[in-house]
Amino acid sequence: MSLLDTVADSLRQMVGSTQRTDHGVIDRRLIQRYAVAIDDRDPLFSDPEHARAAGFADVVAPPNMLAGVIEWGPGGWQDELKPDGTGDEGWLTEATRGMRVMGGGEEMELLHPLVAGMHLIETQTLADVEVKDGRAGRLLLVRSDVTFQAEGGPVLCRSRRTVLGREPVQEVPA
Amino acid sequence: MTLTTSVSCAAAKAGDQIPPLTVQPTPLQLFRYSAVTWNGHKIHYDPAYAAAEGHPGILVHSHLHAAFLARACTRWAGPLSVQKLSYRIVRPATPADRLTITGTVTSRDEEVDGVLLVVDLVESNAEGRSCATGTATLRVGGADGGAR
Repeated sequence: MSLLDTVADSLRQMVGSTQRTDHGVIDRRLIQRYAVAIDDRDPLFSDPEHARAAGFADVVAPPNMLAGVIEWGPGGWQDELKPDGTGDEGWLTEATRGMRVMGGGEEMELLHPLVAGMHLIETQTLADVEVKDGRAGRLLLVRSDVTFQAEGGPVLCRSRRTVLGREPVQEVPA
Repeated sequence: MTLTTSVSCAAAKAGDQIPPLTVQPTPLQLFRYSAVTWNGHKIHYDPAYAAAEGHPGILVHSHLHAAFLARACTRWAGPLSVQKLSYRIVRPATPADRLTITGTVTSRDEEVDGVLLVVDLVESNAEGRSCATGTATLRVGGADGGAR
């Protein structure tokens, strides 16, 4: 059995499983840095005074920041990461070691802006695992339903996320 | 459907185009995006590793593609105009690629608190090949004009 099939079988056992993670309070600096990294200069995303004048308590996160952050916590120690540099984020557990993984797309519904100072809770449910033949060979598609909510407050974002996995092509550098 | 040049978002109707956005991702931008999202995946910053996986170079993150698509919308319709965004990566992009995001309004619905526009988005490289496609639903022209 190929690595891809082994991983697919392993993940299928977990379809329907849910992870709930408390990411703590999201600070202004993270949002400002995200805006700088994507080169979005709208002052709502970086200038607290502008944001307050617009009616918000602090700076507001750009639309896809909630989906874009891979790890909200400290992450794994370096020697715990897989050879491709990924950790055990989401459903990409140790079982995926050796596979080539990448983001495949997302369907987001943005219900309420993330504002600096909010306490963020994420709930992620493994929704579907599919193997299909793509142009570049067999492809594993792992879809999860993700909800971000402010603790004791509104739901901020709901999304369905797709992560792609492919068989390794060769030995890769450590 | 007749395509027209870009118009104001409040007056937009099906067939109108949003102003195109051209971006040139750089290795520095990919590094900073990896850092701020705490994404250790080497395909985004380690050329030797990316080549070993068979990629043409270090890859633009899927969510950075999404950020480009979103920015093409928000610079036109307001920073909080995006109500829904779906996207799919169809071809890898690297810092060698100059990317242009175009969008075409496909529907307009008048609502009590503004107008909902659906925009089909395409991010293309310099050869005109699509790297990402998507659809955004934008709310414009409400009491806050998409400012919140």
